[in-house]
Amino acid sequence: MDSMSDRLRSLGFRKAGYIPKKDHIDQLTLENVVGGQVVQNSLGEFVLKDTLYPLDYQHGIISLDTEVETGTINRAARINTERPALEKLLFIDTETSGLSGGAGTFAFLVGYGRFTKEGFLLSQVIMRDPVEEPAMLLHLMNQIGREYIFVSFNGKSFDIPLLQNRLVMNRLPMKLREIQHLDLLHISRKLWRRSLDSCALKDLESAILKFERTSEDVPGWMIPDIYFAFLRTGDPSGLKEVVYHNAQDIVSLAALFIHITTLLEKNVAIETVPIDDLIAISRIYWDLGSYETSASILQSTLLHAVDAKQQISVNSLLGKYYKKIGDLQRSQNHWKFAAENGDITAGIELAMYYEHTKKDPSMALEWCEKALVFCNTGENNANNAKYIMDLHKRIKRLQQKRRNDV
Amino acid sequence: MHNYQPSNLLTFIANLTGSIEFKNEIAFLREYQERRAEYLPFPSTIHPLLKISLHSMGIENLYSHQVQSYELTNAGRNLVISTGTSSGKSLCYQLPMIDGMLNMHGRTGLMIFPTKALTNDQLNSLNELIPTEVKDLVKYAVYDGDTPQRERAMIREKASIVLTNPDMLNLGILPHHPLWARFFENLEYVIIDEIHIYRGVFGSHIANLIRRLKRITGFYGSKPKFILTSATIRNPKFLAENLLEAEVDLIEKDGSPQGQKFYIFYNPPLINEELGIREGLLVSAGKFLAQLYKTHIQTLVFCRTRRFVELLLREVKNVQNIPENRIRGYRSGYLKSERRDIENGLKSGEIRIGIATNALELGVDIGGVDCVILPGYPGTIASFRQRAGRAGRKFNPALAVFIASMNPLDQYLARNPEYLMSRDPEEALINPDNPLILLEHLQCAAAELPLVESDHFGNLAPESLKPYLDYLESLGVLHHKGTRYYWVSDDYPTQHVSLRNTASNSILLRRVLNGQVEVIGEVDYNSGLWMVHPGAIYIHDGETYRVEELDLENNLASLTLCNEDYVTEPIISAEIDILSLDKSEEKVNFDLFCGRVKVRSIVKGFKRIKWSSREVIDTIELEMPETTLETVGVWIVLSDICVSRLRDAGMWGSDRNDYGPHWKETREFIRARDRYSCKVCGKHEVSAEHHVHHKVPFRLFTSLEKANAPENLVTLCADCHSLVESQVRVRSALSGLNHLLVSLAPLLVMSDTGDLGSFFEAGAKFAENKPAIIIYDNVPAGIGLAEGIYRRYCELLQKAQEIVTGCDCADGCPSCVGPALEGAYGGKIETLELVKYLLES
Repeated sequence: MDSMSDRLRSLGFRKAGYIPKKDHIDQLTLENVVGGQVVQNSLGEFVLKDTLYPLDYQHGIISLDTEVETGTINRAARINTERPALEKLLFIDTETSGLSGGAGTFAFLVGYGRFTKEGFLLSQVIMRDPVEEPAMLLHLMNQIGREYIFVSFNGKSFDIPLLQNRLVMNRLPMKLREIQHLDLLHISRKLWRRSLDSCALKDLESAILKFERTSEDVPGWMIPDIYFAFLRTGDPSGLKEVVYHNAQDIVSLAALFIHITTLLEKNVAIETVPIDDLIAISRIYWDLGSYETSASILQSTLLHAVDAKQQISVNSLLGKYYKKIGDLQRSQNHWKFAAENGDITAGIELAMYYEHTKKDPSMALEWCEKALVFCNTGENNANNAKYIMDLHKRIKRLQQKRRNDV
Repeated sequence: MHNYQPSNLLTFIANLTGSIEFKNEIAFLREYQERRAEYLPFPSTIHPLLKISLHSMGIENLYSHQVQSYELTNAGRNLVISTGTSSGKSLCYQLPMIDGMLNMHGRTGLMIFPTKALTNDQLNSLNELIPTEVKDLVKYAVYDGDTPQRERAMIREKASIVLTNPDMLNLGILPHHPLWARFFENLEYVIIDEIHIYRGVFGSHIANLIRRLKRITGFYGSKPKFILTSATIRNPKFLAENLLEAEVDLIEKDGSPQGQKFYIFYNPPLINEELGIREGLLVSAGKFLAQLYKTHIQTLVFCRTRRFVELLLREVKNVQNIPENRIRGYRSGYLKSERRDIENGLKSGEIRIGIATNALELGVDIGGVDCVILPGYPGTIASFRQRAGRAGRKFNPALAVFIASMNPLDQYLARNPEYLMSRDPEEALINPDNPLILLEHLQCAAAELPLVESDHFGNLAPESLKPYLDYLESLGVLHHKGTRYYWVSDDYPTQHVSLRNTASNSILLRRVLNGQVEVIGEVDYNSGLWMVHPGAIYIHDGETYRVEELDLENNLASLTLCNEDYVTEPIISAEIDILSLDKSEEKVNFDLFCGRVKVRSIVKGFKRIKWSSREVIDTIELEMPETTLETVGVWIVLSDICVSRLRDAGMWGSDRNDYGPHWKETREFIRARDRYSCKVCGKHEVSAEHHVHHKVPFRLFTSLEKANAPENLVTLCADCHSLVESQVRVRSALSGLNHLLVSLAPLLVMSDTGDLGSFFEAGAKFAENKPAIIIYDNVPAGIGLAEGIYRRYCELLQKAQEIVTGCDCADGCPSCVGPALEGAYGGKIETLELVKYLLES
């Protein structure tokens, strides 16, 4: 082996140096360190750890026994189910050998949690060596019925395709894509993208759920190396933290799910919800076609202390609502407020209103020019260039119309 | 719009051979008679729908090689088809593949093309051929770096035929094979087009890529048939079998028709006989174009560089007065729409002269033209034929003109046209087991599927693989457990594989032109140190550059175009260690060896040498790092017999120099200065007078005073004089032969400049202080070039002899033995003498 490495090095091959191997003589086993047990099936062995979180378990501000209504979130995530039973939700997250993707990346730990009568039951399957992958995947396959719905954070584009790859490579015939999937990343972004800098699970956990992890946690980027070190040395102690990390991710996922569903159901207590969240919720209802609900949430915000930026959003959205139901007078009032305070779309709406409904090109021009000023002075927005182009076109046409009128 | 008559071309050729301006420079003219098509009826098994689409494309009969491919593929054979340009090669693989898909729905096919132009061309061709009725069943799509993300999943799940390139296969397909499970399970056909491009390092990578592909298809339980095509090279079957590591049938009998065809080799007139300088390519090509334009003959020029395209455009527009709208350039860097325009203009005949780079060489459909001009040899015979093949429409006569440049290869070809015309082109060689290349692909393979201890990788047996896998395990990227090696790294190994290079680093060549920085190429690190050291004059693609800076931290060389009248020659001190002797041949005059060698070299500085007079202007010292290259070399060691024969040969008697009117006095003065004793052995004059020797040979001076200056003269006894002269002579001969062998090697083994390195010494340490020349692969661990030369050294020596014998220069020129060494002769006579001895024994 040395001669090979000498040979390759002398040929110009450059790579990190020799890594010592298996110097671990301690008798620690992975199952002992993480508190799991070895399970055997027809394809071999792996480690399973079950943890039951009692019904009254409190995760940050969320209690896991909160009554959950899933109608709206299912609609938002296009989940197709008659009567969604909470027990059929499978909260899933994997720990992998990396993020680079492709056939070379594998999951060495898969955690999945379910609500049961006794509480929230978290199961974690772990392979002590890549040799155990088939057994671990087989077990997983047997746990996941087609009636389940995955709940994940970014699992649609990462965890599930990765597990699917592994199933294919181990010749296990299950098609995970046929199982419905509720990815909380997307709806979280809709809710908090305007009010938070980051919508990563870790940040939502502290900002929204108010949960703080203990020092037992380990940052996600270190996890592949911890596992590789374990494979090389046989020392499993680092994996304790990885198992903790994965468990917290899944419990946070469940808590986040409870929080979002609570927010999305109409019976939420308006007073306790931040205005930004309410505006975001009204947008979600709007996108779902529930215009009445959207508008009533917006109306309710106006009863509270609303800052200038929020007022603009609320008025702009309400203008849209009244236009939808044909009450142009009221929509105009809301838009005027929004447009005068810098909302470009409201300005454009007003220009359209004056041009087409009122046939008043001069007023229309006035709103166009106001909007144009905000385009050039206001916050940078990806759409600004398009707005500016549209506005110039409109202004040209309006000037023409005005000349014709005169 | 186009006044061309077939007879124009015949008139043109008749005028040419009769004209004073051209006829003496025509080195070769040959006419090939029209060739009739060899048709065969449609095989009865062809699917009726496919027959209908062939009919609607106007195809009523198939050429014999097309039918042969169809039948052999259906018999389950792997094929390589090596027929001429536009002989209908595509149908050779399209027919059996589409037919197979119509007969059994669900089968899939993977088509690999080296360029995007070829891929797009193929897409159009499939569109025509796949019957409308089954377009839903046989879906085809390009899957490469340009394929939009949103279309990719659909292609992976639904396409029957996927068109791609090697890079995408490496980076985007194989590493994601589980997403392609359906496609690989049903994979029945793998088409690899233009395999002659896959030679050397590139080819060695491709062979490993195919090893990986086969592992994946094996995993999914399919065993596809491979259909390969190649331009005419010496060993298409050998190359195909090396790439596939499987038995391959060769189809080379071309059944397509061809019109009457003329070849002319034009060697531009000498404008300085003494130095062997000829009229430039630009001027010669311009003269031809003016004549062709007048005669209404549509012509395509293939230039070696983009810059040459622009220069020639200028030359013909300004000097030869051809109207601008009739003549267009075509090269990369032009807009796509602009290129389509030119392609159409060429097709319609509106454009009469197209001046192009190889951007037009592969797979761009412009139909045929009447005449093709090749100013300068394109580097390989395969490429020469492909370009020359653009001349010719099915039935009209056509002409291809090769204009020779001054370099030895071109001059060789101008004198030996048979080399290009007869079917004996160069060999394409690969070495899939090159350790560095192999190591990269083993990592990719492990990431794709765990490697099993008992598995082969291509032809490599488990026991040969084990050291590599253990090594990778020691690096921590593989984990060995049970019988398997698992990939355990967050790295994505395929992204580090550069299919055109080995793992060692390379230096990027940047040039700054009009404020724009452009990367024009790269050289491997080791060669970079002596090729692009600071101050070096570097010739790239026919352009002369000066190296302004060599930044070894970032591996960048900055070049500027220049017009200097000097060249540079690095002063390299090299040490060669022989690591193993693998093959050898003993002869009377020399020994020939082949084996693994270690080349340690350091560039100490460089000389600036005046181009015209070959005077050394100055010597500049450099501080450069030492480099080590372990590779495979072939070396010639001259025997003592050979050396004494060289010494005894009476060659210098024949060219006694006239040392001037005052030689007698000068001679007397020097002898007196040196006290009538030999400055080497110290012997005093007894009976005969000692000799007075010119340290720098007399012939190298233009001024008598300088040649006979006292500091250039020394007193030597007859014996020592003979010894010194013979050393000079041996050095001259070695230098000349070395230059010839390296420049002519591409005739035998397909290689590019810089692929081979060389070194020679009159007293070489690695050869027991005997005179020796070594030529080695410039790639760590080698890619087979040196072995190729070892096998065919006799041919190479013969070609060297032919070119020196045929060269018109007085005593060596860039077209034969190359620039003279300091303190040596031009070397022409010496080299010729040496080659004679080598060929004798």
